[in-house]
Amino acid sequence: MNHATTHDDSGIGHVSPIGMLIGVFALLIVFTVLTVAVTYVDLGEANIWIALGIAVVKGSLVALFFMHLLYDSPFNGLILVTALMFLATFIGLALMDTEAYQPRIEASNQALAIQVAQAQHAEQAVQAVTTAKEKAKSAAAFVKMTDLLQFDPKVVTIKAGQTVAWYNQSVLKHTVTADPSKAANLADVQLPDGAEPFDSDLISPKATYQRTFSVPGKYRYFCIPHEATGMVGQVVVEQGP
Amino acid sequence: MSSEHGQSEHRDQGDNHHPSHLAHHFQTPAQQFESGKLGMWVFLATEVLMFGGLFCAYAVYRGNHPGVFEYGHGALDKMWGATNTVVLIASSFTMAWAVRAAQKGQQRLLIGMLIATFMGGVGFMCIKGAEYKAKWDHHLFPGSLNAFYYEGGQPKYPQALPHAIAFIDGRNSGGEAHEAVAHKASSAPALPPAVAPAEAGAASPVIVPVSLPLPAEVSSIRPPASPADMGVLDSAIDHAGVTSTPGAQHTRVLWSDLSIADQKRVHLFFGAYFLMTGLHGLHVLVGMGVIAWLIFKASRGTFGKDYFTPVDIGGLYWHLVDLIWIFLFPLLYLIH
Repeated sequence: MNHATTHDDSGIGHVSPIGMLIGVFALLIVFTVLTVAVTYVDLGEANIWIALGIAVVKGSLVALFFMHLLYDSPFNGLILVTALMFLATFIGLALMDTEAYQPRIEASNQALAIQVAQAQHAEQAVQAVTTAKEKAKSAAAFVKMTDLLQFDPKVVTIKAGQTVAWYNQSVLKHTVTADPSKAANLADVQLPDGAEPFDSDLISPKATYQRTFSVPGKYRYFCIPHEATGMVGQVVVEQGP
Repeated sequence: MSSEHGQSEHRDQGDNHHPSHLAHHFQTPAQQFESGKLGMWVFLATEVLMFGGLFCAYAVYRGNHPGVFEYGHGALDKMWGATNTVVLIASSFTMAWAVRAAQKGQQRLLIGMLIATFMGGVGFMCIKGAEYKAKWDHHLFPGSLNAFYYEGGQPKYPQALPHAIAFIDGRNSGGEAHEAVAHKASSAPALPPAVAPAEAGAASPVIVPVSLPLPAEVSSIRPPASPADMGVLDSAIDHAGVTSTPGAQHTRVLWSDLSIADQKRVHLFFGAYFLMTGLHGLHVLVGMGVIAWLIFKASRGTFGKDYFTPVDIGGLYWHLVDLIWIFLFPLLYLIH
């Protein structure tokens, strides 16, 4: 307990000199400007630690001078330090746990990214078919050429004078060919009497080929690169209306 | 009995009066002052631990998802944050001066300094209010009300999300781009309507997967980062081919730089922001109430050289509020 006092105060507590208060205030402002200025410089990892370091210095200034801890009974300071030590233990242990979980979080992030990418891809494929169908609106039948080397559907039926559209939804090139001179196996080609042989040439992925059939009858056609694997389809043209 | 006897003895021997502000169980004003202060410090320790829970939550979330915090903090204006820091430091300074004035018995200076401190609190809350308003204008509310909130893998607010993205992307890519990005978002919404058109069947609306700009990692999946590697985001940025251009003030984190998983977690930043600044703001309001009471008491001449404990203890509370903001400011506004 304070007894003797030469000041004009009662001797209770510490009276901060005005110069000290102004000095601490000025330092706090300087450090605030500094901590903002540092964010304009990219120091990578160091930025957060510099920011926290400046915050610790500023906090210490407030606690030691504005809060009188420097002049107080040390027990008050001990209470604050104890609280901070509890806090450091609390946050430290939680962060160790966090770090241990990090690889699992990374793995789950990537699994989600792959899943979403696949869903997106599938959605885009469906979208592309829809767009192709929309473009080939005038066609009476729509045939997809797939990655599984198939015409889908294998058989389409139309009336004479109508159009069939073939859409290549695969990543490969295909053809729509009904020309005996280009077939490896003549059984893969069939044309009604009076019908001209035809060949689409190579159809790139995402491209569409259309053909209008005027002569009624059965047409068997194939894909030149994939004839051997059985990529064969059929168009049945019935008498027109 | 014996202590009562001792006290009366002391009274007889020492000062010939027992001041009205001195509680009967204290022997001297100095002892009462020290005890009051000790009690206040114990209370402040519990305050530190209460805020500590939020700081811990912050540390865990930021440690797990650094990209979320780098992106989300783009919604905050660090100049307003810095201004508020200066306002609070200045009010802490006037508070410390008020305590000095009380100790020296300078009544008018005491009241003036307390009023200045109170006005600091008013200024802080006004700026904070303007900042909150700016967030709410972009549907950046706390918790599940936030524009970035996802529910069942789908954005809960598909209308608000593109605008919130445009707002933060615009800020993160520098002020000039803001208008352009915002315009793009409003003229060509990034999100298709959540419900498929009539062709999907009128009976039950079908939820269509939402196609937002895909992050870079979809095209090339990164190898898992080692646990020690905290610079995950840097590598993500390198991946996306985004490098900070000369003169750029921010590390440019855009929505498309975030991993898909992180895109669904941006609301976490706003949860941390509103909880931490909200609890702090509440403390500022309580502190303003305490200071208003001190002004009232001081105007009645309650405080003097012998009795200024309430001013000192109220000051400790106000300084702690300042101290917590000193840590909140860099953690929320100055994320690099």
